[in-house]
Amino acid sequence: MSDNKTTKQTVVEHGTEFEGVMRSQCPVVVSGQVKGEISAPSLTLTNDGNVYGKIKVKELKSQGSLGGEIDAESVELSGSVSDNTVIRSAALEVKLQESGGNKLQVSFGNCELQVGDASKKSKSESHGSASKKEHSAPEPVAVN
Amino acid sequence: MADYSREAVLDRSKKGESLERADLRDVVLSQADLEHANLRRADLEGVNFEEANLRSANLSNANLRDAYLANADLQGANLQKADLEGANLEGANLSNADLTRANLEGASLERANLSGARLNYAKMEAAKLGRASLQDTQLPNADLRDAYVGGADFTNANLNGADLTKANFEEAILTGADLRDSNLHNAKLNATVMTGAKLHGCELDVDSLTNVVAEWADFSESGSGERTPGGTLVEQYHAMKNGSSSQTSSGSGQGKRFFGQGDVLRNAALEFGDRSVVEIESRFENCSIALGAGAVLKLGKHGVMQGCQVVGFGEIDIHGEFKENGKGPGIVGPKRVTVRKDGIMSGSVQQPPTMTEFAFEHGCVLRLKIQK
Repeated sequence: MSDNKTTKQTVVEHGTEFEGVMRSQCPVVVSGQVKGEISAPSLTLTNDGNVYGKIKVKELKSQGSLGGEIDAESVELSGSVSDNTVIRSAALEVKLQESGGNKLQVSFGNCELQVGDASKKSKSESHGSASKKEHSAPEPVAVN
Repeated sequence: MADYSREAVLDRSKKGESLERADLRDVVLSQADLEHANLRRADLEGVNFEEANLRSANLSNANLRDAYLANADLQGANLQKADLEGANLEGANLSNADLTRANLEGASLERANLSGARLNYAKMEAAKLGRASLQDTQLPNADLRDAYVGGADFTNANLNGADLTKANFEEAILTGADLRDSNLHNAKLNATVMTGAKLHGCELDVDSLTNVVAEWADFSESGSGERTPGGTLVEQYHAMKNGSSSQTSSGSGQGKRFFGQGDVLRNAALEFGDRSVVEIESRFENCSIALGAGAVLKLGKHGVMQGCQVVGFGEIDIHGEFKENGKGPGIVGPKRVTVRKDGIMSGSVQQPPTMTEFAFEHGCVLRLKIQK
């Protein structure tokens, strides 16, 4: 707990609504609602947090509701992802639900995920198949 | 020296002012009215909260080590990741409280009311829960090793994946409880009531089942509450361990199919029945695959599916590479899609009305469009 006492954070608390551009050099924690643009080293959405807009961060952890255009180096998701969302990230982690209950760990609306570098990992070429021409360079998919 | 006196704490709480991160050690808060108080990350080590009203209070990440919370009212409180090691919660009301990932090691919860509470991944090693009420409590993956739960009521509780090694369940009630994939090795089950308990994948000492009181148990994989027909509990447990418990009357598609590395399958239409298990290490090109309900399709590390379409309410587990040809959603109506750390998924997933469960491991590669 002592670490958290000394780390400066930008916190948007429960009941707070923010609309506009937020640029921070501190980690941003959102428990309220934010609509607009966020750039910060990291962004954390708590269960009640709701962010929609253009997000550019190194690290994103969301347990709340997330939407918009997201660029990050690493993303950990639970909660929900809104319609018309694009997530671009070097790494993404989504865990399965912890219990056998009905609640999904993440519910996805219509969205697009561009994660990792496909050209580094493609297995198609090493398989000795007729379709070697199918190279696996990133193929962005159009968003609705 | 504490940050606030008892009076100041009560005053701030009454006004709705936050006590987040406050140091309140040594403050006596017995019988205090702290309903809805924000005590997130507060230092409350050893604090006396006897009979206090902490309904719906936010105590997430709070330090409550050795705190005295006997008969306190914590109904609906947020105790996520709270440290309650060695705390005394005897007779406390924790109904519908959220104790996800809380530390309750060695805590005393005798006669506490935990009905409807969430204790997912809670650490409860050597905790004392004698005669506690845990009806409908969520305890998946909780650690209850060496815990004493004698006489406790776990009716319809979810203990899926919990570690219950050496726990003492003497005379406890586990009616309808979900114990699938839990570990009950060396647990004491003397006179434990387990009628309708879900036991698929549960690890236990078979001899201990002879001491259990149960009219029937559910050994089905789905844990749907179906009565496993025929034989004693011990025989049914052995049958489950031997893999035959899920062969119900409707299990027409039960069975495993394996497509080995080096093989290539092109332009084929394949149908796999309900609950079948398909593992692909080969290369599939432009194939159409229909999965029955509950079927599992595992695309192994060497497996490649190029230009294929998979349709049906099954589970798709991608360790290899799945790449559609852009003509339509590569996966339609799946119950679950998992892409493992070495997996590559390029294409679209059309979710069923009940929505797909997605899991993505760190390191996977995705060019994925998800459609509702």
